Amino acid sequence: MQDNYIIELKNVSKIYDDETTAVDNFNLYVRKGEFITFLGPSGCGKSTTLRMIAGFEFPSKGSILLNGKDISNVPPNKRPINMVFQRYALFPHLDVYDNIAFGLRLKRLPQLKKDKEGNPILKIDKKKIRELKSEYHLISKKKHISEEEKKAKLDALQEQIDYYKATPVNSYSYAKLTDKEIDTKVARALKIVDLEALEDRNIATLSGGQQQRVAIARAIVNEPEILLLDEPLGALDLKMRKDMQIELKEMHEKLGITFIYVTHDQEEALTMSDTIVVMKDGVIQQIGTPKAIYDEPKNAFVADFIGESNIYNGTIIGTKKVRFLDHNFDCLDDFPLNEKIDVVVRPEDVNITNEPGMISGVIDNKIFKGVNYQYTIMVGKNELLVKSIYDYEVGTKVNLNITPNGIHIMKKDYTVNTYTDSWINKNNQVMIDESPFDCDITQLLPGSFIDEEGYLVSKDKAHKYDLNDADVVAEIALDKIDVVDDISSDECQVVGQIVDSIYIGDHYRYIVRTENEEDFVFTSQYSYNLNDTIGLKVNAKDIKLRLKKEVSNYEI
Amino acid sequence: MKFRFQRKYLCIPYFLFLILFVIIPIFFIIYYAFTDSNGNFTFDAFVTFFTTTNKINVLVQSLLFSTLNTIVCLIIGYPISYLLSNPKFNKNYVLVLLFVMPMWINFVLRTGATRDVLTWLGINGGSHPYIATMIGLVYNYLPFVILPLYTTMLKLDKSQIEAAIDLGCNRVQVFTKSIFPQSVPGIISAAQMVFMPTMSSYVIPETLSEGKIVLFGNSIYLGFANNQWNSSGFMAIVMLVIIAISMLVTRNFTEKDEGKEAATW
Repeated sequence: MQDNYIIELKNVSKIYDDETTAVDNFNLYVRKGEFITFLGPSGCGKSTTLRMIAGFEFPSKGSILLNGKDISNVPPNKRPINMVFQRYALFPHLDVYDNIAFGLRLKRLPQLKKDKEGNPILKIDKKKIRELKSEYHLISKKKHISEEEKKAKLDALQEQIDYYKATPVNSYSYAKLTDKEIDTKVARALKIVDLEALEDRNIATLSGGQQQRVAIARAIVNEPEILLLDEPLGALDLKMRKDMQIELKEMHEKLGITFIYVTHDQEEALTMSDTIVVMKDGVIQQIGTPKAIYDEPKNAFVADFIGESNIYNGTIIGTKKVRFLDHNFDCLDDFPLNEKIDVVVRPEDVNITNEPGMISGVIDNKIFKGVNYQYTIMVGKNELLVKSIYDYEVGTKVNLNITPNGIHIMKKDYTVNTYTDSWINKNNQVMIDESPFDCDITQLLPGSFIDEEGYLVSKDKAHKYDLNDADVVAEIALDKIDVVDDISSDECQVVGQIVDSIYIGDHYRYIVRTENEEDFVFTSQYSYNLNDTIGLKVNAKDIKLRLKKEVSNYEI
Repeated sequence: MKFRFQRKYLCIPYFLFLILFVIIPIFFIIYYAFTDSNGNFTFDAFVTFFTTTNKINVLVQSLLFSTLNTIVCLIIGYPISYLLSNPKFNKNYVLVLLFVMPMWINFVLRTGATRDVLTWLGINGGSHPYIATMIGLVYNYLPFVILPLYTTMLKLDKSQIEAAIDLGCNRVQVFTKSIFPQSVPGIISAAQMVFMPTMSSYVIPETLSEGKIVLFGNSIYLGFANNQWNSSGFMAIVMLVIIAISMLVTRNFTEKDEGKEAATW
């Protein structure tokens, strides 16, 4: 074990009572003094992970180590970790000073008890035994760890309990901090957050930014080893947020403690962090420095989530040569011939040129962004997002170049079929590869239903949405696609050729490519031949949808 | 001069109402309190009130009943409100309604029913006037405690409780340092809604103690009923003064705390 890791999460999973998995097999090692950010869309498990580090949730599986010691089941008030809450959670009945002093007033400093000769007094540590017993109780109730693991843990705990019951240890008396000590510490914290003048103010009279600072001061005044920040800037306006980002970064440098930050704002993550952990559906997608994550995204999700990007399906057609957008490009990554891959091109890596270029397209849309223009260019059927400082008219035909180091190639991960350019048609079906699939669009809004006119109605019946033409990302798990042998039957939703088949242990994995070059990956027990033409069908409930825009955009 | 409608004219009906039904009656009371039966100015009522042990006893007894009732209602109502406002124990509003429902029934009817139930249980007013009255009072005023406390506690921020734990509170300290201080506005408005009405309550002690317990409200009523306008008028003024004092005391509390909305529930 390396000593410079302050906190380690090993195989941590969180499974709720209703069997939903919020965090799945999370492994992370954080160095002392690091600024680490959990980044992901809402519901990706980032907050749950943070709450497990804080102690508000206990992991169902795995362990959390602080300085090498297992703290997985230690309650929050016994951890040297403090948190800044999303909505600050300041105490409205206390003023600024008392809010900050709250933790200090609860703090008790242990002092070794000694007898008259100065020898330490030994006593049975009943408190420790109580704590261990409650931990024992907690572990014995866990459902998701194996019996052997549970037994091993419980035995170890029982051993400790027996030890403390039998062995008297040094006893301590506990002293409060003096008013003067509290004063000095609060004054220092106020100085760090720049609020010296406001210590007597009532919380309700403070602005959002000031409340934010009080919340930070209240946490750092306890000198925690780790400071947790749960989307702390979410409630501030843009300008304030930018200022606070810089200030937080400075604070981090000044204090030298480890910051663990949770956000769904990729720009915030890129600006502040030393390390970013990108998460989706409770699983870590990529861990790396902001630059590494931006430049070398590991998969299409990361590329899509971090910054704006163009993502295409491509095929490797030679050594360091890749084909996408109907053109052969040189690239820097070496992949096996004929492999289907994801290609990511950042908008700023595409150059618009007046000379003959590699590809050409028509400008479809133009947005002025301050420093540059953002164009949507139609290259054939595909959209390409381009940023340029030069001004072109909409409708102009332009030539485009993409240099090899602007092309990032990622192995397709075959955990799930993801269709990023799907949309909903007027029959509330999802269009994947020009073919309609029945699907359950009520999943886009929890509790919603479809009325007789085909509109989506929210749970409280207050809002109505017309999702016709809405862009969605559709996902189909590999084992949810079924083969239809008779390709002329009505059941058959899409037809394609098997272009790849691998035998994996007890089943086959096939890739079916349609006429429109869309791939469907599925697993099956049965054997089919390469180049067979087969039909596929998917159950409506097995298509997972995610809107590209907020649902409120479709409200009518 | 041409009449032009201004928004402030909308206040006129309310002013008329206040003058007719609040200000003038108060002046009547003051007039009766400081005159004799012939209408001459005198301090007789004042002197009699503070020298008659009987009347002072009634006042002290009423204060004791009010205080005790407030305390008992709070002790019972606080945990109930806490549980009702916690989604872990109470998932819908029906339970709250069940607790508050008695409030919507005319309280003379309710008190009559209470008397019958208590008699059936063997706690009739004849043999246990104090217990019967106390039970009646608590039963009547409990909803007035639960509602303001419930609304205050609904507003308690769960993340504040977590923040308190995060900063080192154990379970008891979370209550004493975070939950309780924040529910103080609710406690004050609950106390306000119980304390004063109990003092002047008349039907409950009358019915449940079978006339054995006379609270301040009864005694004012009896006075007016027996045409003792002057002494009763003075007692009404004493009542007003006590109300004013209790308002002033509680206002000082609520001004210190945020969450005034809860207090004005």
